[in-house]
Amino acid sequence: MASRRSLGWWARRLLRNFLAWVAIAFALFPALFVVGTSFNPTNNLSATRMIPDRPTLVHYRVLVRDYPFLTWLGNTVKVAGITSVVTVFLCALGAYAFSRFRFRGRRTSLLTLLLVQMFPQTLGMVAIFLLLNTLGKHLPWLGVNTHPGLILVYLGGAMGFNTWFMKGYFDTIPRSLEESALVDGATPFQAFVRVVLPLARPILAVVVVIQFITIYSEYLLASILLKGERMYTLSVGLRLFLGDNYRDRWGMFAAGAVLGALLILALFYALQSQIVSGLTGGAVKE
Amino acid sequence: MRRIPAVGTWAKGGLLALLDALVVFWCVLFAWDGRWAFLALTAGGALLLNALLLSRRAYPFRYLAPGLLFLGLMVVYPMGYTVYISFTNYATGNLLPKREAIRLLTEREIVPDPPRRFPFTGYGTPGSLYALYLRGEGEDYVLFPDGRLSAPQNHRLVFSDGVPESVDGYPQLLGRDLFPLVAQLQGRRIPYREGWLRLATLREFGFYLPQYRYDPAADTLVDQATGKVYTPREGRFVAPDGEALDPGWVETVGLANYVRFFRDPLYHGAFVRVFLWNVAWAVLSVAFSFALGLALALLLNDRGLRLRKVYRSLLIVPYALPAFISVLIWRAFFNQELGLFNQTLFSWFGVKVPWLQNVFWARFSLILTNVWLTYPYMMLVSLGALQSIPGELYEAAKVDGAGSWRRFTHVTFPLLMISVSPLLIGSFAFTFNNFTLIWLLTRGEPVVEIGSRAGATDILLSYAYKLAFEGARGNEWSMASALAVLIFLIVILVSGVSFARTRALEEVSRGL
Amino acid sequence: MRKLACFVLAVALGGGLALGAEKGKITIWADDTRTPVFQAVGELYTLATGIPVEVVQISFGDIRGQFTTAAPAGAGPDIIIGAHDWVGELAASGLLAQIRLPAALAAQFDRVTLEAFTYGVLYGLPYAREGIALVYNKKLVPTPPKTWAELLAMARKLTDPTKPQYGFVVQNPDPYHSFPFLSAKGGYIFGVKDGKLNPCDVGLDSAGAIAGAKVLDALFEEGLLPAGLGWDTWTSLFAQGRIGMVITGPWAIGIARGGGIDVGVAPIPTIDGGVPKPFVGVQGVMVSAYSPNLALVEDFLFNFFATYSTMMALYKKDPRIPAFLPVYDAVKDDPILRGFAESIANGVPMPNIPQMSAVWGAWYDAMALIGDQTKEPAVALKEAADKIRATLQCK
Repeated sequence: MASRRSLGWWARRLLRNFLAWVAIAFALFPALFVVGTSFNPTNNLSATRMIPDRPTLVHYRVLVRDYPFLTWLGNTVKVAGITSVVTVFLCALGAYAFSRFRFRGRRTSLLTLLLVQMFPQTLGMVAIFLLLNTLGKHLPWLGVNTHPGLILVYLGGAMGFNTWFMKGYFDTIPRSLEESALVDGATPFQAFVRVVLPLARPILAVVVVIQFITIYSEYLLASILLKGERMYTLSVGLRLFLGDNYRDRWGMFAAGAVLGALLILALFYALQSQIVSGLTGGAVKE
Repeated sequence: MRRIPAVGTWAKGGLLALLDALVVFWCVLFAWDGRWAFLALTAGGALLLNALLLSRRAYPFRYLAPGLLFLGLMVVYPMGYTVYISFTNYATGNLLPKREAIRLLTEREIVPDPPRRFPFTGYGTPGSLYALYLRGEGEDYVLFPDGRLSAPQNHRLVFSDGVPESVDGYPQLLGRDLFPLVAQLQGRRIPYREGWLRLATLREFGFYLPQYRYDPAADTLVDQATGKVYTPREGRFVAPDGEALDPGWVETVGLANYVRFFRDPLYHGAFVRVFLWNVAWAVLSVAFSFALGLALALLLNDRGLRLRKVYRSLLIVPYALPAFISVLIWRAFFNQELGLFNQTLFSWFGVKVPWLQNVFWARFSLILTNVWLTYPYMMLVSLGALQSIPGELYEAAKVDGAGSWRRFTHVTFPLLMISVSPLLIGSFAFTFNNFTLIWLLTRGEPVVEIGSRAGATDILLSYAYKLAFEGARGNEWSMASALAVLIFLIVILVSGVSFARTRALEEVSRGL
Repeated sequence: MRKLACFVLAVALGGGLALGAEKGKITIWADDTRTPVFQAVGELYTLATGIPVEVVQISFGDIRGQFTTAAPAGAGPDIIIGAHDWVGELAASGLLAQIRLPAALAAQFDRVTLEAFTYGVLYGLPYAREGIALVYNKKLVPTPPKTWAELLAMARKLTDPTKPQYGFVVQNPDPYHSFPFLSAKGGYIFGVKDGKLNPCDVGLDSAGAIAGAKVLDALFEEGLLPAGLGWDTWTSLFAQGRIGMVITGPWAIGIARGGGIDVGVAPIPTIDGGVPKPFVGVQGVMVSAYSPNLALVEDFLFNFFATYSTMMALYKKDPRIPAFLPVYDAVKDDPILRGFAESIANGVPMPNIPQMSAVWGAWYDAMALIGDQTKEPAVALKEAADKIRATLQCK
């Protein structure tokens, strides 16, 4: 009995590892071509191979030496970091209200939140530029070509699908825990901060990661609002190498993309223990 | 224990009072300055804040207010702007307000024949310009920075070599001392005869005649050389012979853009075909990518898997790379002659698949690429949501003798959907309008018919983009906006079906 | 507290915008290749006049769109770099300032490049021009063909799709690369009336254009040219030495040389005696109508930009055919550059009027369906031209 079960256990283990590796192969093989491009001296995407004929570090060298690449990286971390942390807090606040309070306009607000996010943002860009430009005439630190201004714009998307997502999660957290805190004399806000937020750690971490990556790769708004290479975020900075039809410098772009991706992976690696640290349950158990 | 909230309340009240006092102070200043818009904004904001903090009924909105504020500013306002633009003629040639267009036209200059130039010298102290001395072949002037022209005999001039050494006792400024000061005179038009003088270069003033004059009473523009009269028509000044002047201006045109859409088959001809593919595209992409993401999340949630931390990190790689490059790498894979896929297929099986040339395969390729791009997101979200499922439920299900598949369909999946389904709707909306991907991978191709602007893989948004930006005269942002509004209404309609389900899900969750 | 209030007030009420053009300072938007050159010239200008020059790096592909948004809001630059086919759209919207180029200086520019920047009046100062020519692999094609018959004979000899190896290729579907064919026998896009392009005269289905498209179509029919041949594909093949001749621009030279190919450049062979006229693209600088520095900008452009040393620096940074003749004369001994220059000497500027937006899409569709043999050239071009006429609504 015990040995049979152990055999099945091993078979399963093997299968799972195998499946994981198949998935990783699917995930990585296009990515490896990006890596290949970054080492390819020809700067051409079409000639890309996984391992170039004459690999070179020239793109990385030029990127770090001749361009303010580290500044771009720093700007990205600053903008994406602040935005994602503030977003997660705003989102959690909203989600808590939607989950715990019953008030007039609740259903309408929830619905509006979802609907509003579905608007195609084609011309919204112009409006945002003009708004920020006007704002900047009165509050220069918050105008066009400032990082606080860009963060402000990004925070517009803070309440949205993520609020719904968190609300769903909060709904599954038993109320009894907060109620006991309320009995002890805490305000609802204190209960929220001290009881609910710690319990919601996985979802907070997920939203931080998602938001960070979204902002990290956002290009349109950042390119319209930021001017001057020292202000650029990574996605805008790298785009300097593209855009002149057949003269795109993919090698440089790929080198920057690879370095940026390493940053994202590091962030995710660091945060993932938070994501799977669900306190409310063990999830799928064998 | 009881005192603490009391102190807190007092502190809050005090802070609010202080803020209110400041607001009143600001409002007075704004009123003084005549900045009424700011006054209204500040006062309105303060009132709203007070209502939020003082009213009991508004209590839940205290939690929502910060997020909603940003949402209103950065999402709803641009939405309103788009709707507004859709009711205008905002397009290439009609980008500016009317007064700006009139200003640009009336500032158009004619250089008289023969041209007249006034070389000048400048006088003052470093950092401050007193006057310029303009030499106009027997017609010299002293020009002050405020635009006043004065005859030389009114001033004390000390000449040497035909050029004053000083004016009213101010010495001559040269080169780098002079130029930055002179630069401040740019844009100033000094009325002179029937035209004006202006700084032409850093060393000369020039005399110019206006090409047009504007008659505010008749709202017409008159060409000074030919006498031609231009009257406003459809946002531009038009002469009786049909000649229209650039630039035109923005004006509201009511529903004209929408009417054009419904009247002109060029605009709605391919709409249904594009719409059907658009829905299929969004549904299939989200379904496959969620299925894959969820499967991987389940796989990697298994504590027994040793390297799962590393696995997870590797699996989000597609999410960490800019789509801009990875999509083009995929495009290279799909290449019919040299792409990785066809080279492999050809050497193994002797076949070549027309990945991007054939309608079916082009759609297949798009969905495959999108699944690769988006499954990490689905995996992350599922991983997070899985943590909320209480372990006891599994135990209970296990005791009931449920197998792992039954446990998944009866416990995991329904509970997961509570928090994940809004995100799926969000993903649906995002994919529905994922212009970038379509543009990078297929540009809407393969071509189906000439000039319909809708290829086999065009989605509504890329179709709208082509319609608006391959128009009669450059870019028609107004049409783009009208189409955006229409697409928005469609997405709402389609998603509306899903909303009914979220309500049901909420009911489920309340039972917990 | 008072200090704080003062600070808040100062922040709330004060301050202008440092981003857009400022009076007394020249702001330039340039792509990253040309930024260093403008920075160097800007420093010289500041040294000579005391007037600061700021160069902002922006991706070339973004400049036009961002300029359109920023300029009317007063947040745009004084000068942008760009391509001549932006001129119609930007000038029609009132965003560009006329440039009054002194005759002596105008004589130093290639005439066609100034025409390219003219939309009623001159709106730009060019620095480079480029276009397509016949580029060939010297190993496979020792001497370039002069006539189409010669080209076909060579192509038939060299082509072997199983290898794969192709004697002659041209990117398709691609309107830009098909224009030499359409124009060789007198086809045109827009007719000319009173010295201006006339958007009501669409020549895409003129007899000459159809005859030219048939020459291209014959290549597909005979199997000499594979359908759907994109940039990615043929550049790889070319770099591997699997292509004899190709119609392309200077941008492909680097890739071919990267593959160790010895390339030559020649004018595109005549088609039944007709000389193909490739599109000429021109790059240059344009001035914002919203610039508060029009006098400074003219001074800067005429005395510091349109000079031998600046134009030479731009050429050295990115060797395109100089539009400034003294520099062209100094570098024209380069055989590659000369080959392209000879080819585009026959060319016409790509139309710069905003109506061109209605042309590209339909034209592209027609070339795609001709390429995959779905439609006859006469039918396809007629349909495309009719759609364009319908869009332009000319009576």
